[in-house]
Amino acid sequence: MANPKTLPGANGKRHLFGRLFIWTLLLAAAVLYLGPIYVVLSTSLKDLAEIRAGALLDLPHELNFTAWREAWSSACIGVRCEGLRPYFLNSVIMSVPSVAISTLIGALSGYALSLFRFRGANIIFALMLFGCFIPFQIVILPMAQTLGYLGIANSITGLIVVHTIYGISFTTLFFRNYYVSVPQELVRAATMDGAGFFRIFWHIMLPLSVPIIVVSVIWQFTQVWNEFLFGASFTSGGAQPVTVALNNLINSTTSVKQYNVDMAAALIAAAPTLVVYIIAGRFFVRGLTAGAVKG
Amino acid sequence: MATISIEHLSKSFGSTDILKDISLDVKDGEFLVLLGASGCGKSTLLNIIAGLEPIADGEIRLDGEVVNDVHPKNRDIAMVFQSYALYPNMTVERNIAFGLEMRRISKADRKAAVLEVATMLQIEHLLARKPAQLSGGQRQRVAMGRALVRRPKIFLFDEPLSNLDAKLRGEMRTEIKILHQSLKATMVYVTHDQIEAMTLADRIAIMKDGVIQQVGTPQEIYSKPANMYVAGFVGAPPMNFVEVDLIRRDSQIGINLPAILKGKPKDYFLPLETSKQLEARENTRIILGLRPEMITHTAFTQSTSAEIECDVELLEPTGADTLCVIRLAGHPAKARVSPLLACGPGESMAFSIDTTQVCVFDADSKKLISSS
Repeated sequence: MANPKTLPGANGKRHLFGRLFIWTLLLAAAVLYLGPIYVVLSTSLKDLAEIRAGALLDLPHELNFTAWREAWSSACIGVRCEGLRPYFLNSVIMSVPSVAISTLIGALSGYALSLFRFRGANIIFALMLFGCFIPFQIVILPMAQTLGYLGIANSITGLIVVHTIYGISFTTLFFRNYYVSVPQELVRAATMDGAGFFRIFWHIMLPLSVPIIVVSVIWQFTQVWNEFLFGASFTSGGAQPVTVALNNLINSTTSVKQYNVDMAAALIAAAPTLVVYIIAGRFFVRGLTAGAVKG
Repeated sequence: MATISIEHLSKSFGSTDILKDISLDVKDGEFLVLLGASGCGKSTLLNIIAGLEPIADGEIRLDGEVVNDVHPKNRDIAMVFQSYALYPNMTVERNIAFGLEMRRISKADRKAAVLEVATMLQIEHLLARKPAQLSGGQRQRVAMGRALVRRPKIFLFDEPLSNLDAKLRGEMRTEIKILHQSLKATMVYVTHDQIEAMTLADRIAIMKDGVIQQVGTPQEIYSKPANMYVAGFVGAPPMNFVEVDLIRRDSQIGINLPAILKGKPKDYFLPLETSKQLEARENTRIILGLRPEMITHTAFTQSTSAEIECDVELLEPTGADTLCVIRLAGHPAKARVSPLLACGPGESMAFSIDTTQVCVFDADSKKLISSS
């Protein structure tokens, strides 16, 4: 092996400047991204007097969670003054089934498309991929009509259906690309052993799929939880998801603009996706690249 | 009882014909090896027997019953795959038992059956492990165990040893042969390794481009290859081919063999055993097939041999034999001699050619005309 110290660029001034440049750039990027989060967090912990008096970047004088409490349970959204809590629960009720169902269907269809290469499988896959590129705005009107026909307009069920359907394209893509690297012989061996389509899926494929399930869950959860347009278009009043409620909370000013409550509400609405990322984030990157490497 | 009978089978993927009009019979308890280079269709044929590939044309019968549309699981066939295809998420025990589990055999019976097979294959201490924790040879045994545990009528092997190192391959080869002798089951074995084929097979079917070239015992394939492809594929080092004219000299049919002695061309007359097929081709171009062991040192040779003397261009010692590269009819040919009697490099040496064993091929069709 070559001595790393003798490699070109390993030593001397140029190396030092290069390092300095990289570190500065990274630091600047970090400040750029973390700065707004700092402002939001510190503002949410101040009271209104402090906000009016102090500078934006000052630390709060004391940890004051009043604004958080208000945002969670008593802030007024429209005429209801119950805070974000009911809408937060709406979002949970909406995202959990849509994430679970779309992941399961994506796994099944990805499995069928990659390991049971039936006639036309590639065409069907290509058509499903189209789903990834359709902008939300295009489908709003027909989707609203469809939900109306189905009698699930203005309901969380309606949003679950919409998000599940929308997610299938992505989850199918994930699972299909993951299963393509699974050796075909595994399916053949299981077929010889007497397992059918669903038993192979259940006993062999799903246990192998943990990394890609994590990817699919994070992706879908982020999409569904953060989604605003469908929520705003297809629901109103009590059925709205938290993103729409947050928007309404901030827009429904009664007298004074309560910046601290707004900030706390924004953080509450963003918390679940952050938590999911922190818990499962490292699986995310690992899962995205898992298909490329063979075990 | 388990016989396989394939009649006029054809298979194509898109516009590519993989198998062309294959007819083949496997007897009960026979060990048949499908031998051929990559892409000759041998694995596809095996998959068709297993039922993993649908058939375009033709018929396949197991024990006389047409099974074209019978699902693999109902054919009572087990298969060992090249990559072993062990289920990565299951322990060795569950891997072996999976086929029984799918056939709804009780847990106690499964356990007993797995233990019996594991003991036979000497892997009972590995039952709790996952495939990732096993070596290549151990994985191979588990794959065998998975096939054995169901006690099927027919075993299919798809290059099961090609991922093992040379030593282990030799050991497993012996074990498979012992297994076949003790189980007396019908086995079909796909390989591209001609030594594996020769050592294991009751009969070998050699395939090329989706066509069976020859079916026969290893000895038949070796000494009477149906065409030049078979002759060149089987045997290491491969058979030497010499393109020459078939002539008659002094009422003896034979060939003129151009060699090189002390740097100068020298022709030798090689008499061949007279036969109707040869006489009919007198004064035409033929291809003479000489296995390296047919060209050997002159000591202790029989009277049926012809002798030539020629320059040795290169020596390749292999231990048991030394291979001499000589030049016959302008092309390099290999002779197999005893290391004790081999000449030095660059010298010339006398060889005897066993003319009773040579193969004669048609220069156009490449098919065997006659052999003794």
